[in-house]
Amino acid sequence: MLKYSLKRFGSTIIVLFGATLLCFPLLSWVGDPLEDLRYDTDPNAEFLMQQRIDFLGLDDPWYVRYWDWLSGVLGCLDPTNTVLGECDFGTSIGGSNVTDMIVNAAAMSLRLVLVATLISIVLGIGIGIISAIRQYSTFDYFTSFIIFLFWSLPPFVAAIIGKEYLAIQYNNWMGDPRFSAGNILLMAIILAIAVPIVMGGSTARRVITGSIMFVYTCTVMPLLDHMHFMEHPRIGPIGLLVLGLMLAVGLTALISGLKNRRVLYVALGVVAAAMISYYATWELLRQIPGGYLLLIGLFVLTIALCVIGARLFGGYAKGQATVVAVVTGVLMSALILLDHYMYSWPGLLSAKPRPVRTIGAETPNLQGDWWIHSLDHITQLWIPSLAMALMSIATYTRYTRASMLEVNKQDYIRTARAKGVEERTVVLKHAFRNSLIPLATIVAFDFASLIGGSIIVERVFGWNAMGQMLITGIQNADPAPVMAVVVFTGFISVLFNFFADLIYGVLDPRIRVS
Amino acid sequence: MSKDSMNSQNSERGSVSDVAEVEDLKLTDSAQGKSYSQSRLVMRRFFRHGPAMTSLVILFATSVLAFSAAGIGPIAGWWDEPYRLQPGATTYNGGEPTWFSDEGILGPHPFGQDGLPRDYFARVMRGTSNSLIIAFTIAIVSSVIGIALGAIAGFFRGWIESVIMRLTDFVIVVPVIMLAAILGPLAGSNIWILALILGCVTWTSMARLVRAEVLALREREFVAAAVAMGASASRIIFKHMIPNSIGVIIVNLSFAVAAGVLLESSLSYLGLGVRSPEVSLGMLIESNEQAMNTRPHLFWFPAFFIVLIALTVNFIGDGLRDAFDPRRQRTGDRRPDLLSVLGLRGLSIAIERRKRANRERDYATRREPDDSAATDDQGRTP
Repeated sequence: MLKYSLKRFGSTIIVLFGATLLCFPLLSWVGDPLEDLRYDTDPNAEFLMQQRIDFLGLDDPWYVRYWDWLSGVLGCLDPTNTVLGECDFGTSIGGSNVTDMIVNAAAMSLRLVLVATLISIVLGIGIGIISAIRQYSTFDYFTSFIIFLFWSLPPFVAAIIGKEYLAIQYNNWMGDPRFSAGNILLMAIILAIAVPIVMGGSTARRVITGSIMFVYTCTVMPLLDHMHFMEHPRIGPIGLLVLGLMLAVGLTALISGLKNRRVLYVALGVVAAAMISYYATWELLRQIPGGYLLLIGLFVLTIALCVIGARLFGGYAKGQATVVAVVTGVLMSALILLDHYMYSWPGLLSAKPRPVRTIGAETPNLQGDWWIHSLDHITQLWIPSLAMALMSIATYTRYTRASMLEVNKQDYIRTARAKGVEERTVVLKHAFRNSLIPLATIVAFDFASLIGGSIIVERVFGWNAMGQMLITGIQNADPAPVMAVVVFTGFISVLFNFFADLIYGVLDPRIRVS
Repeated sequence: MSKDSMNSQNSERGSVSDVAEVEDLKLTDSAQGKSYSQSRLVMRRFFRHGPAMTSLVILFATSVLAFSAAGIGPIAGWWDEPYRLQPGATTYNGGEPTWFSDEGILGPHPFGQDGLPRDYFARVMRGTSNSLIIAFTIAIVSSVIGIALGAIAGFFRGWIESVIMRLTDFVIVVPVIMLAAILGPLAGSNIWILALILGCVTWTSMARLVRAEVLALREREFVAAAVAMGASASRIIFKHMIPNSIGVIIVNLSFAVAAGVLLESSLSYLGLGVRSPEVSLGMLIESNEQAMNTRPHLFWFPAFFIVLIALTVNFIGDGLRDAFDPRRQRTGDRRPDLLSVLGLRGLSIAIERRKRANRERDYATRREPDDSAATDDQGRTP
């Protein structure tokens, strides 16, 4: 395994080197770094031109410049800075240090890409499973069409539509957030049609589900309106308790069935613990020393406690109890976090009356505590990442669906059904798990194309990240920033392919990694 | 999903067998039909693919509209307004679209005018025809390169293969949009050169697919026979390898067209693809992005045409894949008809049963004279 990893890592470096060797000459061949000075009428232009020629070494052939650049970048392989020199991505024409530029830009772009990946994995797998279970239903046909639509929607078109309707129109609406009677009726009708289609069942069942949804929406939306929910949203302890109980019962029913009391009691215990910790950690979370690190720490602690609790009290159903407890715990933590964010929402609104800025990754000079800054990041982040994610959502849905249907035809699924295993267990344990294996490769491959998409979406939303670096670099024929972006994206994509190979070997024992 | 929905899932499996019954009834009909050649089968499957056929018609209509309105090369189109700025042009009706208004179906500026003011219909049609030209050229160029490299790598193996596949790896590592952005400025405002360049950076997937296909074909008996008879490498590749992998090639070619539309429009949106004075749909969106609030039609018309082209091409590709891949086709046969999807399976089964009963009655009544005719003509008894 170690030998394989090392060998794979070695070939990764070679591929990356080859990619730079391909791009650098192309870049120096296509662009003219002196273009802006050639048409300059300034008497100083001659001097500036000579200065730039010296600076970029334009009198040398491209391989000499490439070697200069490469020797700087090779330093990044050497953390001690002694053998190969310092890590140096060069200097841009404007004179700024590209190493610092790429670190900042990559952090921003990666945040976008990671969130987009997360969104698309969750939505894609979820929709894919439902549409495979209900193959050839109305929902399935509708999803197939949406998949094709998303595949045909260029990221910049999606981003512009998102910017207009989810950011600008939403900001306008937030000036006086009221639901009109028409809005409520429209929403109720949409939900009354959509929810039964997703839930499925006989015609009578669909009619009942639809009517319940209609009545529910027509009561809840005016209520939310009356509570000024859009300005002062809260889940609150009561909401948290109700949602927690629903989660515990629902997840137990989904994973082990309500007859399994042990699992149900463990899940209810997790909800009780979550309610206690909601009050216990309130002050700590408001102060939030350490920011995200504290959140991650608490999150890990939650999972650990859930596992230990389920192991101790799970009894004969330890395995299922652990799954239910961990999922309940994770979702309860998410709800508590959401409640904290909601608590800070009025604060954000007072600091920033139009909550979604359409330019940049964060609001400059924003006054407020950690929660408000974090909320600000989220409001700036979610629309671009959703716009990028659409194509990946379509891909993942398609592959999950195909993979589920493929697995459903396997002999071991028929054996499981023949043994009398419940449909729930067949779908979740036998079919779903095995259908995830090919998805690991798809996600890894897709990550690279998402980085390509981020370049375009960043442009729409005016983020000063990798896309900006690349485009200005190409326009100025400035090799250092462009090559830095190439190296970074190439590195990320080979890295993820490497991970995919390793995970593939772990998930599917039939494949020997060697 | 609650436990109830799981139970309903169980009960639904009962009705799934009804769907199968409907399909079986259909199959019994086709089973006693005549036999077809492989290419006829593929064509029949494709023509029966509803979404693909609809898309083919829409794509054809769009191409005819765009090329006939904007003209092809030196031939002028039927739309008189120029796509470039005309001296003395004035804004008409505030630049709003005039179609389906008081001035008839089209009016003087059906899609309105942009800020300068230039006629937007002429620009969108010009952009659509440019996008179509570029997308199809990209697909053809990238397929030719990909097929050539893939076939050579797969057929010759050895060091040639490792060099070609390493080169493919080098290109794959860099996102396509970046390579295209680096090379895009080379084209200036010539769309043909741009299409050629973009074709040169998108061949990797075709090369990989063709290589895999050729590697599998290499081990087949008819290739061994051809080698034994002394056929040259080029003959084996052109006569045996490529015709036998034509399914993979055509399907991938059609998806390459869709990818080409998206790549070109994205690149032009970034300002690194099609340059002024030429027009492209991505460029139109980029140059009118600021007017999204005041004149949204300047965004929606080009966006609509981009999505329309990509969507129809994707559906056509899907139909081709279903037609070429018999394994997929079998699941396609299991596809229920419209009534079954709407939850009226009983009605659907009843209709099929009645149809079958009618057919059997017809068959029984026709049987006697048909049989005697057969004995008379061919001199053998059935």
